[in-house]
Amino acid sequence: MMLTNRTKQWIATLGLLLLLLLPGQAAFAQAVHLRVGLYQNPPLSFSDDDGVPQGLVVDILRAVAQEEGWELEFVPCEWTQCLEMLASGQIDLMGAIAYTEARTERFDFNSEAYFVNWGTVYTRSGTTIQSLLELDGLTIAAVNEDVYTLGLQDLLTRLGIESEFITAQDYAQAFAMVQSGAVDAGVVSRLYGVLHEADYQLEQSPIIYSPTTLRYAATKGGHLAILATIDSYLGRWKSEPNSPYNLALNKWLESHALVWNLPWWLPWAFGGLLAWVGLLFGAVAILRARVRAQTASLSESEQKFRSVVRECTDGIALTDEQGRMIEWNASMAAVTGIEAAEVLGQPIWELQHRLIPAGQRTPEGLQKLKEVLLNAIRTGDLPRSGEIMEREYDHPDGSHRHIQGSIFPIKTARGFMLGSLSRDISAQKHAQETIKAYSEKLEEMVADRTQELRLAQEQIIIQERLAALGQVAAGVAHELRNPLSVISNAVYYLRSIQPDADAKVKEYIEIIEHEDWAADKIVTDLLDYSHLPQPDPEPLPVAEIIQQALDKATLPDQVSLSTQIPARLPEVHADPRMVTQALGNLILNACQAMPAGGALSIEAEKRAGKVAIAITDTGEGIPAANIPRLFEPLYTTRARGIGMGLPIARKLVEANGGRIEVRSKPGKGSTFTVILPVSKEKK
Amino acid sequence: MNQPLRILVVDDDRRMTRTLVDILVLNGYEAVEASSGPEALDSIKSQAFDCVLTDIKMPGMDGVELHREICKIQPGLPVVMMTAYAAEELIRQGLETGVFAAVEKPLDIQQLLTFFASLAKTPSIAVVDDDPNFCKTLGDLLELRGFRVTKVTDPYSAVDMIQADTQVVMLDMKLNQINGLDVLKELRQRHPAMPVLLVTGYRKEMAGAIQHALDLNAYACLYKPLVIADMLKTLEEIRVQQLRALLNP
Repeated sequence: MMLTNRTKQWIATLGLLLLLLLPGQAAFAQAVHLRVGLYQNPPLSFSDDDGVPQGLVVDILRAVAQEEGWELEFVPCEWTQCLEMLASGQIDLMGAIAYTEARTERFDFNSEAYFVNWGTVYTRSGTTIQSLLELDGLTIAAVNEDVYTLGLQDLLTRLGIESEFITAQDYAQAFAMVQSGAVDAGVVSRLYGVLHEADYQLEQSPIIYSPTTLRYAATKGGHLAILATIDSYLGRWKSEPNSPYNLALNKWLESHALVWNLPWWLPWAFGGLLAWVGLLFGAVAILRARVRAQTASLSESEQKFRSVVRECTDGIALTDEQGRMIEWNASMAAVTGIEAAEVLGQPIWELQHRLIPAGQRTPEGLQKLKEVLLNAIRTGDLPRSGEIMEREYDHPDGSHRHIQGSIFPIKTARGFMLGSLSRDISAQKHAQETIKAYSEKLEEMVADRTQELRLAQEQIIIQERLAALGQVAAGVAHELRNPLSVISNAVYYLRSIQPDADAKVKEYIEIIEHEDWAADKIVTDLLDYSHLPQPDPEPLPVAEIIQQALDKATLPDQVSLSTQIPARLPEVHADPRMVTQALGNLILNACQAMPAGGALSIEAEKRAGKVAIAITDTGEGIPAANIPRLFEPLYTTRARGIGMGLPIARKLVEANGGRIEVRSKPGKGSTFTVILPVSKEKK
Repeated sequence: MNQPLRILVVDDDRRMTRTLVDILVLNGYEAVEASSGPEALDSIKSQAFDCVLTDIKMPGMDGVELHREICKIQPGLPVVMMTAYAAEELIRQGLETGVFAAVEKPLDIQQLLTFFASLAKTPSIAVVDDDPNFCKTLGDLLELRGFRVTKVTDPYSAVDMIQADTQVVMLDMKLNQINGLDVLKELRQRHPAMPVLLVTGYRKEMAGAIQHALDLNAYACLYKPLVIADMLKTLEEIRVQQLRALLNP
């Protein structure tokens, strides 16, 4: 070994001399100078009280450097600082660094590990922490970017456990923080822990994790040859009992009571241990099977839950125990028009507030909502919890929706979550309103139809009465007209043979003649009404037909007449006899309405493409209730007459395509207006 | 005509026939009553009548049937039907088969008497033609057929010579000194409704004047040489029209 070293020294010295002799080759002859990062991690690497680099990695590296003739420059730095310097090339090499996949991205590592280490959690003596779960909510001191810090954080995240990590500069500071009570626990490597737990009166918890190998790391891409050289020495030295590697292990670890040499009792213990391990394996196998089954069951349950949430046609939203949204299914996104990406992690009260129509949102409302929901998360107490409520919603697509939903707390081990179900009921709402509108329309139609039917029934009764009346009239007419005709013949004869009869005889003959005429008029009216002839319409000057009607009527002396007929009035299209008779009937009716005398006025005018002839009296008028019955046959309020005048007038006018309107003020008089179509011939 | 008009009154109501017969007799007519169709037919078979006044609706034989039977015995005998109500269908049938007229009960006696007076009167006709020979021969022919004829050969005196009760005028369109159309115009001023029958030998030459005359309400135009049968038929038509108009104004 010494020989080899010497030979190498010789060769190095010789090389150096050669390099000095050959000035042009100066760079080639330069010795390997390595800057090595040194941070405080005893007993692996540290500066002692005199500032001298010490520790396992230092001794191993020094031994290799001595063999290879490397110059070593130890650069003290803090852990994270060391990592940065190594990455940037400010130092070349670093020991006491655990190998991880992630770190190979930044650094090159040698292959041979010089030590196996793992992470442990320490607490103050007397504190009993048995599992990772108990770390929830605790504060933990840890070194940033330390592999065991990262490992624990990863574990806790996976388990959903939240602990607060407090940064420590190195393991010593982490232990000091635990000892002082500044934190609940500290994370260190098992090696550091075992060596220093007593100094800080700390206790190792059963939590161990992240087994790692310690190696040398170099700046990426710069020192692959150096690392290969270290590997070649380590590989060889590990199998040689008195190699510098084993000497360094003994020096740094044995003195701290780390069992690296087998004590005398160990084989016995090992036997027991084997048995125990066997038992343990059995137990582990059983536990693993159970866990697998539990996991499978949980996983199946989780899958079911996920499927239900995903496929549910109702919107489902779920918060965590802080009220932050953690679930927002596709139906919820459809109902609200808000995508899951927008809401996950948002406080539920802000979302709830967003669902209120813009006009109704107020800061006070939001505050109130927040208080109510926060209280629900803390206490599980929520007013109207689970109750189905309806509200209107302005959907982001611009439509106005009706949403039905409920909100309710869900108890968990850590408090209360909030669940919410929502459903778009706009379509049902619309359908309901449509049905309601239809129903109202139907009711209206039924009412209208009922009214129509009642009117139709009344009409049928009237029609039946009229049909019967027509038959009776025709039968009676024949039987009455013959005797009436004989009477009139007789009167004519008597008057002819007695031209010089005395006044009394003449008066009586006149009375007989008049009554005969009156009786025949009744028969004629009945026949006119029930056997209306087909009209034979022709163009008629309005003034002429009014005059003809007036000529035939005999106005009582006490009735004054005024007419107002514009000269340029279109001719009407009607049967002259029928219209004259109708107007005559109305004039007679007007005169009969004024037994004590009054003013009869007849006015004609053009009205909406037709001609209106208004016949107005100043008589007693007609009570409103009686107006609908005016045109019923045989309806009369007068002592004389059978009530056929107006019905016949209406029939005659209607047969000619016209109509009669009535307006009346009781005590003032009435106006009957005949409206007739205008002739298309001539003007 | 010296002989009084003979009228047969038919009605199933005896008081009706009785009063009518009394009135007619009082006015100088000979009237016979019958209370049924068969009875009426018996009378017609044994006596001559100038007119029949019958009720339309009677038990057994109605007025229309009676008219049909009368046509078999004495075609052309004027039959007037009386109706107590609008028996439109029967009236239509009657008029179609040649019933003279239908009147409503109660009867307008004055109207009936006017009708009978007209029926009794000898029909009067005025012939206006500047050809004296044509005027004379046509006039003689018409007198032979029972017309009272006024012959006018001087167109200037024509209008003055035509009496108000003249029932028809036969007017030659081509007069020597004066156009027939001018005579017609003057005549229309005095007698607006008097029927005028145009006569001409110049169908083509006078076509314009004839059309003008027809527009002035001339009844028709006859062409020389006259077909006597056609002329008499046209004159009968005019007479019937005039008589019917008396019953249905």
